[in-house]
Amino acid sequence: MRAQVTLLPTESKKLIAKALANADEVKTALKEGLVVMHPSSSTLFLAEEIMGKVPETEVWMCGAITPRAACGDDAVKVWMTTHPEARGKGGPESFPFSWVIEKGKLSQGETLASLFARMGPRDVYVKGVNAIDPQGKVGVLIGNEVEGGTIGKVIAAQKHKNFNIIYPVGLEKLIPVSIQEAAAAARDRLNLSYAMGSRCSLLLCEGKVVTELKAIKLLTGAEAIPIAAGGVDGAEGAITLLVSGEDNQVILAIAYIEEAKGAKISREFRQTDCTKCNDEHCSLRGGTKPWLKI
Amino acid sequence: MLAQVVLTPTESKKLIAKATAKLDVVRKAAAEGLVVIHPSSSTYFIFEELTGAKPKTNYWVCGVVTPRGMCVEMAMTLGDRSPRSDKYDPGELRGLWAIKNGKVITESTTAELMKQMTAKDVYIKGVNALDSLGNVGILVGERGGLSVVLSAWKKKKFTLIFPAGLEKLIPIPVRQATMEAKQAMYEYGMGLPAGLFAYPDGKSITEIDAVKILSGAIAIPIASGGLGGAEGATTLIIKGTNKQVREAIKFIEQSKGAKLPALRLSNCSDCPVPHCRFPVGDKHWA
Repeated sequence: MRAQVTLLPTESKKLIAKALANADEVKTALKEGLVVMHPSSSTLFLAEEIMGKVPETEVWMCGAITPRAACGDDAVKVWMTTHPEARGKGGPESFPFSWVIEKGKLSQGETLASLFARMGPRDVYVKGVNAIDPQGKVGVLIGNEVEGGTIGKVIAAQKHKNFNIIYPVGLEKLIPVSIQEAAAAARDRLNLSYAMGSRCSLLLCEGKVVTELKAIKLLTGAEAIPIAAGGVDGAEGAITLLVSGEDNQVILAIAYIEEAKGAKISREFRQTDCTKCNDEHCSLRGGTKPWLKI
Repeated sequence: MLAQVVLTPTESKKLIAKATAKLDVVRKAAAEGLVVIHPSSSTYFIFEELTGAKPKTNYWVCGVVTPRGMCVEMAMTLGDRSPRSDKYDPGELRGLWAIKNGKVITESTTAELMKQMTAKDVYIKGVNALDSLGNVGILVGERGGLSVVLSAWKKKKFTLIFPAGLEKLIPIPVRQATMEAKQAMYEYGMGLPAGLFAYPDGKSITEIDAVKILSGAIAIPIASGGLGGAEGATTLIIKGTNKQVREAIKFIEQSKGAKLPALRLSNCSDCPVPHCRFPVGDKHWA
Protein backbone atom coordinates (compact mmCIF):
# COMPACT_ATOMS: atom_id res chain seq x y z
CA MET A 1 0.00 0.00 0.00
CA ARG A 2 1.13 3.54 -0.73
CA ALA A 3 0.08 6.78 0.91
CA GLN A 4 1.03 10.39 0.29
CA VAL A 5 1.06 12.58 3.38
CA THR A 6 2.08 16.13 4.27
CA LEU A 7 3.34 17.12 7.71
CA LEU A 8 4.00 20.63 8.95
CA PRO A 9 7.13 21.14 11.08
CA THR A 10 5.07 21.18 14.28
CA GLU A 11 3.15 18.07 13.24
CA SER A 12 6.45 16.33 12.51
CA LYS A 13 7.61 17.16 16.03
CA LYS A 14 4.53 15.46 17.43
CA LEU A 15 4.98 12.37 15.22
CA ILE A 16 8.66 12.07 16.15
CA ALA A 17 7.75 12.44 19.84
CA LYS A 18 5.33 9.51 19.53
CA ALA A 19 8.14 7.38 18.11
CA LEU A 20 10.63 8.46 20.79
CA ALA A 21 8.17 7.70 23.58
CA ASN A 22 8.05 4.15 22.18
CA ALA A 23 11.82 3.76 21.67
CA ASP A 24 13.44 1.01 23.74
CA GLU A 25 16.06 3.32 25.26
CA VAL A 26 13.40 5.76 26.43
CA LYS A 27 11.15 3.03 27.81
CA THR A 28 14.06 1.56 29.78
CA ALA A 29 15.06 4.96 31.13
CA LEU A 30 11.49 5.73 32.15
CA LYS A 31 11.32 2.43 34.01
CA GLU A 32 14.76 2.31 35.57
CA GLY A 33 16.41 5.70 35.37
CA LEU A 34 16.25 9.25 34.06
CA VAL A 35 14.95 10.83 30.89
CA VAL A 36 16.56 14.26 30.68
CA MET A 37 15.38 16.68 28.00
CA HIS A 38 16.68 20.06 26.92
CA PRO A 39 13.48 22.16 26.82
CA SER A 40 12.50 23.01 23.26
CA SER A 41 9.65 22.81 20.77
CA SER A 42 10.92 19.34 19.77
CA THR A 43 11.02 17.94 23.29
CA LEU A 44 7.82 19.66 24.47
CA PHE A 45 5.82 17.04 22.57
CA LEU A 46 7.93 14.20 23.98
CA ALA A 47 7.31 15.40 27.52
CA GLU A 48 3.62 15.60 26.67
CA GLU A 49 3.58 12.09 25.16
CA ILE A 50 5.24 10.62 28.22
CA MET A 51 3.41 12.56 30.92
CA GLY A 52 0.04 12.87 29.19
CA LYS A 53 0.01 16.63 29.70
CA VAL A 54 1.92 19.73 28.68
CA PRO A 55 4.81 20.61 31.04
CA GLU A 56 3.87 23.70 33.02
CA THR A 57 7.39 24.66 33.99
CA GLU A 58 8.42 28.31 33.70
CA VAL A 59 10.91 27.55 30.91
CA TRP A 60 9.83 25.35 27.98
CA MET A 61 12.40 26.46 25.44
CA CYS A 62 15.68 28.38 25.42
CA GLY A 63 16.82 29.74 22.07
CA ALA A 64 14.95 29.82 18.79
CA ILE A 65 15.14 31.04 15.24
CA THR A 66 12.22 33.44 14.88
CA PRO A 67 11.17 35.56 11.88
CA ARG A 68 13.14 38.47 13.27
CA ALA A 69 16.32 36.72 14.42
CA ALA A 70 18.10 34.10 16.49
CA CYS A 71 16.59 34.93 19.87
CA GLY A 72 16.06 33.57 23.38
CA ASP A 73 13.06 33.05 25.62
CA ASP A 74 12.61 35.91 28.09
CA ALA A 75 12.91 33.73 31.21
CA VAL A 76 16.21 32.28 30.02
CA LYS A 77 17.49 35.76 29.18
CA VAL A 78 16.63 36.89 32.71
CA TRP A 79 18.53 33.93 34.15
CA MET A 80 21.52 34.62 31.90
CA THR A 81 21.65 38.28 32.93
CA THR A 82 21.13 37.63 36.65
CA HIS A 83 23.60 34.73 36.78
CA PRO A 84 26.90 36.05 35.41
CA GLU A 85 28.41 32.57 35.71
CA ALA A 86 25.97 31.37 33.04
CA ARG A 87 28.10 32.88 30.31
CA GLY A 88 31.40 32.07 31.86
CA LYS A 89 33.42 29.00 32.69
CA GLY A 90 31.16 26.34 34.15
CA GLY A 91 28.09 28.21 32.92
CA PRO A 92 26.51 25.44 30.89
CA GLU A 93 26.83 23.00 33.80
CA SER A 94 24.87 25.38 36.00
CA PHE A 95 21.96 25.29 33.52
CA PRO A 96 18.88 24.53 35.67
CA PHE A 97 16.10 24.20 33.10
CA SER A 98 16.44 20.61 31.84
CA TRP A 99 13.26 18.57 32.11
CA VAL A 100 13.86 15.45 34.15
CA ILE A 101 11.43 12.56 34.20
CA GLU A 102 12.17 10.21 37.06
CA LYS A 103 9.86 7.70 38.67
CA GLY A 104 6.90 9.04 36.70
CA LYS A 105 7.37 12.67 37.73
CA LEU A 106 8.57 15.60 35.64
CA SER A 107 10.68 18.26 37.30
CA GLN A 108 12.85 21.24 36.40
CA GLY A 109 15.52 22.90 38.52
CA GLU A 110 18.37 20.41 38.89
CA THR A 111 21.60 21.61 37.31
CA LEU A 112 23.28 19.71 34.51
CA ALA A 113 26.31 19.13 36.74
CA SER A 114 24.10 17.41 39.30
CA LEU A 115 22.36 15.36 36.61
CA PHE A 116 25.66 14.26 35.06
CA ALA A 117 26.71 12.94 38.48
CA ARG A 118 23.62 10.75 38.57
CA MET A 119 23.34 9.64 34.91
CA GLY A 120 24.50 6.29 33.59
CA PRO A 121 24.08 3.78 30.73
CA ARG A 122 20.36 3.25 31.34
CA ASP A 123 19.55 6.95 31.09
CA VAL A 124 18.64 9.09 28.11
CA TYR A 125 19.31 12.72 27.19
CA VAL A 126 17.11 14.24 24.44
CA LYS A 127 17.98 17.43 22.60
CA GLY A 128 16.44 19.19 19.60
CA VAL A 129 18.86 20.38 16.89
CA ASN A 130 19.11 23.14 14.33
CA ALA A 131 20.53 21.36 11.30
CA ILE A 132 20.61 17.94 9.68
CA ASP A 133 22.65 17.20 6.58
CA PRO A 134 21.84 14.79 3.72
CA GLN A 135 24.02 12.15 5.42
CA GLY A 136 21.93 12.36 8.60
CA LYS A 137 24.51 14.14 10.76
CA VAL A 138 23.09 16.84 13.03
CA GLY A 139 24.29 20.15 14.45
CA VAL A 140 23.23 22.48 17.26
CA LEU A 141 23.54 26.26 17.19
CA ILE A 142 25.57 27.48 20.15
CA GLY A 143 25.10 30.97 21.51
CA ASN A 144 27.09 30.48 24.69
CA GLU A 145 30.47 32.17 24.72
CA VAL A 146 32.43 29.26 26.12
CA GLU A 147 32.47 25.50 26.35
CA GLY A 148 30.08 24.73 23.49
CA GLY A 149 26.86 25.46 25.35
CA THR A 150 24.93 22.83 27.29
CA ILE A 151 25.19 20.27 24.49
CA GLY A 152 29.00 20.53 24.51
CA LYS A 153 28.96 19.59 28.18
CA VAL A 154 26.41 16.82 27.60
CA ILE A 155 28.56 15.25 24.88
CA ALA A 156 31.64 15.45 27.10
CA ALA A 157 29.76 13.88 30.04
CA GLN A 158 28.33 11.13 27.84
CA LYS A 159 31.84 9.91 27.05
CA HIS A 160 32.39 9.19 30.74
CA LYS A 161 28.90 8.15 31.81
CA ASN A 162 27.77 6.33 28.66
CA PHE A 163 24.14 7.47 28.70
CA ASN A 164 22.18 7.60 25.43
CA ILE A 165 21.79 10.86 23.53
CA ILE A 166 18.85 11.14 21.13
CA TYR A 167 18.28 14.00 18.69
CA PRO A 168 14.71 14.39 17.36
CA VAL A 169 14.84 16.38 14.11
CA GLY A 170 12.27 17.11 11.44
CA LEU A 171 13.40 17.40 7.83
CA GLU A 172 12.51 21.10 8.05
CA LYS A 173 16.04 21.36 9.48
CA LEU A 174 17.76 19.94 6.39
CA ILE A 175 20.73 21.90 5.02
CA PRO A 176 22.43 21.09 1.69
CA VAL A 177 26.01 20.98 2.95
CA SER A 178 27.68 18.70 5.48
CA ILE A 179 27.45 19.68 9.14
CA GLN A 180 31.26 19.78 9.18
CA GLU A 181 31.28 22.36 6.38
CA ALA A 182 28.54 24.40 8.04
CA ALA A 183 30.31 24.24 11.40
CA ALA A 184 33.54 25.44 9.82
CA ALA A 185 31.71 28.40 8.25
CA ALA A 186 30.09 29.31 11.58
CA ARG A 187 33.23 28.82 13.67
CA ASP A 188 34.26 32.45 13.55
CA ARG A 189 31.10 33.75 15.18
CA LEU A 190 32.91 36.20 17.44
CA ASN A 191 34.26 37.88 14.32
CA LEU A 192 30.81 38.38 12.80
CA SER A 193 30.44 42.01 11.78
CA TYR A 194 26.68 41.66 11.42
CA ALA A 195 24.18 39.20 12.85
CA MET A 196 20.43 38.91 13.06
CA GLY A 197 20.22 38.25 16.79
CA SER A 198 22.59 36.10 18.79
CA ARG A 199 25.88 35.22 17.14
CA CYS A 200 25.93 31.45 16.83
CA SER A 201 28.39 28.73 16.00
CA LEU A 202 27.33 25.21 15.03
CA LEU A 203 28.40 22.08 16.88
CA LEU A 204 28.43 18.65 15.21
CA CYS A 205 26.62 16.24 17.54
CA GLU A 206 26.96 12.45 17.56
CA GLY A 207 24.15 10.21 18.76
CA LYS A 208 20.89 8.64 17.67
CA VAL A 209 19.02 10.81 15.17
CA VAL A 210 15.26 10.40 14.72
CA THR A 211 13.58 12.07 11.73
CA GLU A 212 10.04 11.63 10.40
CA LEU A 213 11.36 8.73 8.28
CA LYS A 214 12.84 6.95 11.27
CA ALA A 215 9.75 7.72 13.36
CA ILE A 216 7.45 6.03 10.84
CA LYS A 217 9.78 3.02 10.66
CA LEU A 218 9.96 2.76 14.46
CA LEU A 219 6.21 3.11 14.94
CA THR A 220 4.98 0.92 12.10
CA GLY A 221 7.72 -0.74 10.06
CA ALA A 222 6.61 1.19 6.94
CA GLU A 223 9.10 3.02 4.71
CA ALA A 224 8.79 6.78 4.22
CA ILE A 225 10.45 8.65 1.37
CA PRO A 226 10.46 12.46 1.12
CA ILE A 227 9.17 13.57 -2.28
CA ALA A 228 8.66 17.30 -1.73
CA ALA A 229 9.16 20.04 0.84
CA GLY A 230 7.79 23.46 1.65
CA GLY A 231 4.38 25.02 1.29
CA VAL A 232 2.40 28.20 1.73
CA ASP A 233 -0.14 29.77 4.05
CA GLY A 234 1.20 28.06 7.18
CA ALA A 235 2.76 25.06 5.44
CA GLU A 236 6.21 26.65 5.18
CA GLY A 237 8.82 24.02 6.08
CA ALA A 238 6.35 21.16 5.48
CA ILE A 239 7.51 17.77 4.27
CA THR A 240 5.55 15.59 1.85
CA LEU A 241 6.23 11.88 2.20
CA LEU A 242 5.41 8.74 0.31
CA VAL A 243 4.71 5.99 2.85
CA SER A 244 4.83 2.41 1.58
CA GLY A 245 4.75 -1.08 3.03
CA GLU A 246 2.33 -3.84 3.94
CA ASP A 247 -1.29 -2.70 4.25
CA ASN A 248 -1.28 -3.03 8.04
CA GLN A 249 1.99 -1.05 8.30
CA VAL A 250 0.78 1.84 6.15
CA ILE A 251 -2.65 1.92 7.78
CA LEU A 252 -0.93 2.13 11.17
CA ALA A 253 1.39 4.87 9.89
CA ILE A 254 -1.63 6.85 8.64
CA ALA A 255 -3.24 6.50 12.07
CA TYR A 256 -0.17 7.98 13.79
CA ILE A 257 0.19 10.70 11.16
CA GLU A 258 -3.47 11.69 11.43
CA GLU A 259 -3.06 11.90 15.21
CA ALA A 260 -0.15 14.28 14.67
CA LYS A 261 -1.99 16.44 12.11
CA GLY A 262 -3.17 19.76 13.52
CA ALA A 263 -0.60 19.70 16.34
CA LYS A 264 0.10 23.11 17.85
CA ILE A 265 2.78 24.24 20.25
CA SER A 266 0.80 24.80 23.40
CA ARG A 267 3.19 27.19 25.10
CA GLU A 268 3.87 30.79 24.18
CA PHE A 269 7.30 31.95 23.06
CA ARG A 270 8.08 35.07 25.05
CA GLN A 271 10.18 37.41 22.99
CA THR A 272 11.08 40.85 24.26
CA ASP A 273 10.50 43.89 22.08
CA CYS A 274 13.96 44.50 20.57
CA THR A 275 13.84 48.19 21.49
CA LYS A 276 13.50 47.23 25.17
CA CYS A 277 15.80 44.20 25.23
CA ASN A 278 18.92 44.34 27.40
CA ASP A 279 20.61 41.20 26.08
CA GLU A 280 24.13 42.47 25.56
CA HIS A 281 24.98 39.40 23.47
CA CYS A 282 22.38 40.21 20.81
CA SER A 283 23.53 42.42 17.99
CA LEU A 284 19.96 43.61 17.40
CA ARG A 285 19.49 44.88 20.97
CA GLY A 286 17.63 48.17 20.82
CA GLY A 287 17.16 47.65 17.11
CA THR A 288 14.50 49.42 15.13
CA LYS A 289 14.69 47.57 11.81
CA PRO A 290 11.21 47.25 10.29
CA TRP A 291 11.13 43.44 10.51
CA LEU A 292 11.89 43.50 14.26
CA LYS A 293 8.46 44.81 15.17
CA ILE A 294 6.35 42.20 16.95
CA MET B 1 33.71 40.39 6.51
CA LEU B 2 31.33 37.86 8.04
CA ALA B 3 27.56 38.10 8.62
CA GLN B 4 24.89 35.78 9.99
CA VAL B 5 21.36 36.19 8.65
CA VAL B 6 17.97 34.51 8.94
CA LEU B 7 15.44 34.38 6.11
CA THR B 8 11.94 32.92 6.34
CA PRO B 9 10.76 31.03 3.23
CA THR B 10 8.77 34.03 1.98
CA GLU B 11 11.71 36.37 2.54
CA SER B 12 13.91 33.93 0.61
CA LYS B 13 11.47 34.08 -2.29
CA LYS B 14 11.82 37.84 -2.36
CA LEU B 15 15.64 37.68 -2.26
CA ILE B 16 15.75 35.03 -5.00
CA ALA B 17 13.37 37.17 -7.07
CA LYS B 18 15.79 40.10 -6.87
CA ALA B 19 18.61 37.87 -8.12
CA THR B 20 16.54 36.24 -10.86
CA ALA B 21 15.49 39.64 -12.16
CA LYS B 22 19.14 40.66 -12.27
CA LEU B 23 20.27 37.78 -14.48
CA ASP B 24 21.38 38.95 -17.93
CA VAL B 25 19.35 36.29 -19.71
CA VAL B 26 16.19 37.35 -17.87
CA ARG B 27 16.73 41.10 -18.29
CA LYS B 28 17.45 40.72 -21.97
CA ALA B 29 14.46 38.46 -22.58
CA ALA B 30 12.18 40.81 -20.65
CA ALA B 31 13.41 43.82 -22.63
CA GLU B 32 13.81 42.32 -26.10
CA GLY B 33 12.06 38.97 -26.02
CA LEU B 34 9.69 36.96 -23.90
CA VAL B 35 9.71 35.95 -20.24
CA VAL B 36 6.93 33.55 -19.30
CA ILE B 37 6.30 32.99 -15.60
CA HIS B 38 4.20 30.24 -14.04
CA PRO B 39 2.17 31.89 -11.24
CA SER B 40 3.33 30.74 -7.81
CA SER B 41 4.56 31.94 -4.45
CA SER B 42 8.13 31.54 -5.76
CA THR B 43 7.53 33.65 -8.88
CA TYR B 44 5.15 36.30 -7.51
CA PHE B 45 8.02 38.54 -6.43
CA ILE B 46 9.90 37.93 -9.70
CA PHE B 47 7.03 39.42 -11.67
CA GLU B 48 7.03 42.33 -9.24
CA GLU B 49 10.79 42.85 -9.57
CA LEU B 50 10.65 42.77 -13.37
CA THR B 51 7.60 44.97 -13.87
CA GLY B 52 7.44 47.10 -10.73
CA ALA B 53 3.80 46.04 -10.30
CA LYS B 54 1.85 43.20 -8.73
CA PRO B 55 0.38 40.58 -11.09
CA LYS B 56 -3.19 41.40 -12.02
CA THR B 57 -4.39 37.89 -12.85
CA ASN B 58 -7.28 36.34 -10.96
CA TYR B 59 -4.94 33.91 -9.23
CA TRP B 60 -1.31 34.23 -8.13
CA VAL B 61 -0.69 30.58 -7.39
CA CYS B 62 -2.01 27.30 -8.87
CA GLY B 63 -1.35 24.06 -6.98
CA VAL B 64 -0.27 24.46 -3.36
CA VAL B 65 0.91 22.46 -0.37
CA THR B 66 -1.14 23.79 2.52
CA PRO B 67 -1.56 22.76 6.16
CA ARG B 68 -4.59 20.66 5.22
CA GLY B 69 -2.78 18.92 2.31
CA MET B 70 -2.44 19.32 -1.45
CA CYS B 71 -4.89 21.80 -2.90
CA VAL B 72 -5.42 24.36 -5.67
CA GLU B 73 -6.19 28.05 -5.61
CA MET B 74 -9.94 28.68 -5.64
CA ALA B 75 -9.95 30.38 -9.05
CA MET B 76 -8.35 27.28 -10.59
CA THR B 77 -11.36 25.21 -9.63
CA LEU B 78 -13.93 27.30 -11.42
CA GLY B 79 -15.45 26.79 -14.84
CA ASP B 80 -13.44 25.42 -17.72
CA ARG B 81 -10.18 25.52 -15.76
CA SER B 82 -10.93 22.41 -13.78
CA PRO B 83 -8.72 19.69 -15.29
CA ARG B 84 -11.61 17.23 -15.30
CA SER B 85 -13.88 19.62 -17.18
CA ASP B 86 -14.76 18.26 -20.61
CA LYS B 87 -13.68 21.59 -22.04
CA TYR B 88 -10.29 21.61 -20.28
CA ASP B 89 -7.23 21.85 -22.48
CA PRO B 90 -3.97 22.69 -20.65
CA GLY B 91 -2.74 24.60 -23.68
CA GLU B 92 -5.76 26.88 -23.48
CA LEU B 93 -5.10 28.12 -19.92
CA ARG B 94 -4.70 31.89 -19.74
CA GLY B 95 -3.11 32.12 -16.32
CA LEU B 96 0.61 32.45 -17.14
CA TRP B 97 2.30 35.79 -16.58
CA ALA B 98 4.28 37.09 -19.54
CA ILE B 99 6.54 40.04 -20.31
CA LYS B 100 7.26 40.71 -23.96
CA ASN B 101 9.51 43.46 -25.25
CA GLY B 102 9.25 45.25 -21.91
CA LYS B 103 5.47 45.08 -21.66
CA VAL B 104 3.17 42.84 -19.67
CA ILE B 105 0.97 40.82 -21.96
CA THR B 106 -2.23 39.26 -20.74
CA GLU B 107 -4.84 36.87 -21.94
CA SER B 108 -2.47 34.78 -24.08
CA THR B 109 -2.93 31.05 -23.67
CA THR B 110 -0.08 28.73 -22.71
CA ALA B 111 -0.08 27.33 -26.24
CA GLU B 112 0.09 30.81 -27.79
CA LEU B 113 2.99 31.82 -25.53
CA MET B 114 4.91 28.63 -26.18
CA LYS B 115 4.47 29.14 -29.91
CA GLN B 116 6.18 32.53 -29.60
CA MET B 117 9.11 31.31 -27.48
CA THR B 118 12.60 31.26 -29.02
CA ALA B 119 15.99 30.09 -27.75
CA LYS B 120 16.63 33.57 -26.32
CA ASP B 121 13.52 33.55 -24.15
CA VAL B 122 12.98 32.43 -20.56
CA TYR B 123 10.44 30.29 -18.72
CA ILE B 124 10.38 30.59 -14.92
CA LYS B 125 8.69 28.08 -12.65
CA GLY B 126 8.65 27.41 -8.91
CA VAL B 127 9.42 23.88 -7.71
CA ASN B 128 8.45 21.53 -4.89
CA ALA B 129 11.68 19.63 -4.32
CA LEU B 130 15.36 20.47 -4.44
CA ASP B 131 18.21 18.09 -3.73
CA SER B 132 21.68 18.90 -2.47
CA LEU B 133 23.05 18.81 -6.02
CA GLY B 134 20.62 21.48 -7.21
CA ASN B 135 18.26 19.15 -9.12
CA VAL B 136 14.61 20.16 -8.90
CA GLY B 137 11.27 18.39 -9.04
CA ILE B 138 7.72 19.61 -9.34
CA LEU B 139 4.55 18.03 -8.04
CA VAL B 140 2.16 17.28 -10.86
CA GLY B 141 -1.55 16.68 -10.54
CA GLU B 142 -3.56 15.69 -13.56
CA ARG B 143 -3.23 17.07 -17.07
CA GLY B 144 -1.33 20.20 -16.15
CA GLY B 145 0.36 22.65 -18.50
CA LEU B 146 3.74 20.99 -17.95
CA SER B 147 3.48 18.84 -21.08
CA VAL B 148 2.75 21.88 -23.23
CA VAL B 149 5.80 23.76 -21.89
CA LEU B 150 8.12 20.75 -22.11
CA SER B 151 7.04 19.95 -25.63
CA ALA B 152 7.89 23.53 -26.68
CA TRP B 153 11.17 23.51 -24.74
CA LYS B 154 12.35 20.32 -26.48
CA LYS B 155 12.00 22.04 -29.84
CA LYS B 156 13.22 25.53 -28.95
CA LYS B 157 15.54 25.08 -25.96
CA PHE B 158 14.63 28.35 -24.25
CA THR B 159 16.13 28.95 -20.81
CA LEU B 160 14.41 27.26 -17.87
CA ILE B 161 14.86 28.94 -14.48
CA PHE B 162 13.68 27.43 -11.22
CA PRO B 163 13.70 29.71 -8.16
CA ALA B 164 13.99 27.30 -5.23
CA GLY B 165 14.43 28.32 -1.61
CA LEU B 166 16.30 25.89 0.63
CA GLU B 167 12.95 25.24 2.36
CA LYS B 168 12.36 22.85 -0.59
CA LEU B 169 15.33 20.61 0.20
CA ILE B 170 14.78 16.86 0.37
CA PRO B 171 17.52 14.52 1.60
CA ILE B 172 17.53 12.15 -1.37
CA PRO B 173 18.17 12.72 -5.10
CA VAL B 174 15.13 14.14 -6.87
CA ARG B 175 15.41 11.32 -9.43
CA GLN B 176 15.00 8.75 -6.66
CA ALA B 177 11.96 10.59 -5.27
CA THR B 178 10.31 10.69 -8.71
CA MET B 179 10.53 6.91 -8.99
CA GLU B 180 8.44 6.53 -5.83
CA ALA B 181 5.96 9.33 -6.40
CA LYS B 182 3.48 7.89 -8.88
CA GLN B 183 0.09 9.23 -7.90
CA ALA B 184 -1.93 6.52 -9.63
CA MET B 185 -0.53 4.05 -7.10
CA TYR B 186 -1.61 5.95 -3.99
CA GLU B 187 -4.37 4.45 -1.90
CA TYR B 188 -4.36 7.33 0.59
CA GLY B 189 -3.59 10.99 0.25
CA MET B 190 -4.25 14.36 1.80
CA GLY B 191 -6.18 16.21 -0.87
CA LEU B 192 -5.02 16.06 -4.46
CA PRO B 193 -2.59 13.24 -5.15
CA ALA B 194 0.51 14.33 -7.03
CA GLY B 195 3.44 12.69 -8.72
CA LEU B 196 6.90 14.22 -8.79
CA PHE B 197 8.47 15.19 -12.08
CA ALA B 198 12.17 15.99 -12.49
CA TYR B 199 12.93 18.64 -15.05
CA PRO B 200 15.53 17.42 -17.54
CA ASP B 201 17.42 20.71 -17.65
CA GLY B 202 17.40 24.22 -16.26
CA LYS B 203 19.00 26.37 -13.62
CA SER B 204 17.85 26.37 -10.01
CA ILE B 205 18.39 29.54 -8.00
CA THR B 206 18.61 29.18 -4.24
CA GLU B 207 19.40 31.76 -1.58
CA ILE B 208 23.07 30.78 -2.01
CA ASP B 209 22.98 31.56 -5.74
CA ALA B 210 20.97 34.72 -5.08
CA VAL B 211 23.55 36.14 -2.67
CA LYS B 212 26.32 35.36 -5.18
CA ILE B 213 24.44 36.91 -8.11
CA LEU B 214 23.49 40.06 -6.20
CA SER B 215 26.72 40.72 -4.34
CA GLY B 216 29.49 38.28 -5.20
CA ALA B 217 29.55 37.12 -1.56
CA ILE B 218 29.51 33.47 -0.51
CA ALA B 219 26.54 32.17 1.50
CA ILE B 220 26.76 28.96 3.52
CA PRO B 221 23.66 27.48 5.20
CA ILE B 222 24.38 26.62 8.83
CA ALA B 223 20.90 25.89 10.16
CA SER B 224 17.32 25.56 9.09
CA GLY B 225 13.84 25.81 10.62
CA GLY B 226 12.41 27.97 13.35
CA LEU B 227 9.37 28.91 15.39
CA GLY B 228 6.52 31.40 15.49
CA GLY B 229 6.43 31.98 11.73
CA ALA B 230 10.04 31.04 11.05
CA GLU B 231 9.18 27.43 10.15
CA GLY B 232 11.31 26.48 7.15
CA ALA B 233 13.64 29.47 7.69
CA THR B 234 17.25 29.28 6.60
CA THR B 235 20.18 30.65 8.60
CA LEU B 236 23.18 31.63 6.51
CA ILE B 237 26.73 32.77 7.05
CA ILE B 238 27.70 35.36 4.44
CA LYS B 239 31.38 35.91 3.75
CA GLY B 240 33.38 37.98 1.32
CA THR B 241 34.97 41.39 1.06
CA ASN B 242 33.42 44.20 3.11
CA LYS B 243 31.81 45.59 -0.03
CA GLN B 244 30.32 42.25 -1.06
CA VAL B 245 28.90 41.39 2.36
CA ARG B 246 27.47 44.88 2.86
CA GLU B 247 25.81 44.61 -0.55
CA ALA B 248 24.39 41.20 0.40
CA ILE B 249 23.06 42.56 3.70
CA LYS B 250 21.39 45.42 1.83
CA PHE B 251 19.44 43.02 -0.40
CA ILE B 252 18.67 40.68 2.50
CA GLU B 253 17.34 43.52 4.64
CA GLN B 254 15.19 44.64 1.71
CA SER B 255 13.72 41.12 1.62
CA LYS B 256 13.04 40.88 5.37
CA GLY B 257 9.35 41.15 6.24
CA ALA B 258 8.18 40.16 2.73
CA LYS B 259 4.59 38.93 2.61
CA LEU B 260 2.57 37.08 -0.02
CA PRO B 261 -1.10 37.77 -0.77
CA ALA B 262 -3.78 35.77 1.06
CA LEU B 263 -4.42 32.27 -0.26
CA ARG B 264 -7.97 31.45 -1.30
CA LEU B 265 -8.95 27.83 -0.86
CA SER B 266 -12.35 26.29 -1.37
CA ASN B 267 -14.07 24.83 1.64
CA CYS B 268 -13.43 21.07 1.42
CA SER B 269 -17.10 20.31 2.02
CA ASP B 270 -18.27 22.11 -1.12
CA CYS B 271 -15.12 22.01 -3.27
CA PRO B 272 -15.93 21.47 -6.94
CA VAL B 273 -12.62 19.77 -7.89
CA PRO B 274 -13.61 16.32 -9.12
CA HIS B 275 -10.09 14.89 -9.24
CA CYS B 276 -9.36 15.48 -5.55
CA ARG B 277 -9.25 11.77 -4.78
CA PHE B 278 -8.63 12.17 -1.08
CA PRO B 279 -10.76 15.05 0.24
CA VAL B 280 -9.94 15.94 3.82
CA GLY B 281 -13.14 17.84 4.64
CA ASP B 282 -14.12 15.40 7.36
CA LYS B 283 -10.66 15.31 8.95
CA HIS B 284 -10.08 17.14 12.21
CA TRP B 285 -7.11 19.17 10.94
CA ALA B 286 -9.00 20.60 7.95
